[in-house]
Amino acid sequence: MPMKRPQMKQPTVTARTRVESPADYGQELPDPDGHLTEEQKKWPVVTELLPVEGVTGQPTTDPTPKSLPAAG
Amino acid sequence: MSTGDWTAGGEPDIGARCLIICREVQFDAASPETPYSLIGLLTEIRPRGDYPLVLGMPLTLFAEFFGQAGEYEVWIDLVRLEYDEDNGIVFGEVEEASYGPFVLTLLPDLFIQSRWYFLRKVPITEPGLHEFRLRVAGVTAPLAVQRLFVRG
Repeated sequence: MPMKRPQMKQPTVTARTRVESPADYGQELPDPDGHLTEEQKKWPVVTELLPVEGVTGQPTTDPTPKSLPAAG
Repeated sequence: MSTGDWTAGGEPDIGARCLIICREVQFDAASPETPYSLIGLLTEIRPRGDYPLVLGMPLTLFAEFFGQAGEYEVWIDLVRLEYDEDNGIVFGEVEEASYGPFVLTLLPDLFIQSRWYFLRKVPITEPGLHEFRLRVAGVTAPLAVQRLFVRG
């Protein structure tokens, strides 16, 4: 799936999610499905999370990346 | 703070000192010294259902930005990491989704500026280690990354 990675050399503005006050510093995109592929739109939507076992145990993988990846 | 010349091919002088996944961010105007509270920090989740699936509850990503005042275009990529379960070494990745653009306005003369992003309908192809990458247009490397373990 092609990623819509930012490529511009200079910041630009699209005004649709501009915020006006500290209380509005949370943002979401106007189209809730805009990031989904046509295939992903067919997947079931799950609204329930089960308890997670072993939350306090030894990490199974390193949760902290050692370095930041470069853009692809 | 540097005065990077974006038009000369340089990158914007912007950074993020954290990226945290949670259920909710609460803003309290009556507490200006500590206005932001994060509720329900998420490190791993276990959706009820068969994969692939889409999370019906939004995830909130909280970030603290700093840098040169201006307006930026923010993207958040979701990547599933392929790793060796014996030693945890990541050997590959699969791009799952990209959220954006969000508009970020950094004001001058502030130490840190907090923002958070609601990510709805997060697609999960299969269980495993996932990574959110906070990106800004014009900046090559992610400003911050954070991992979420999805259990089967």
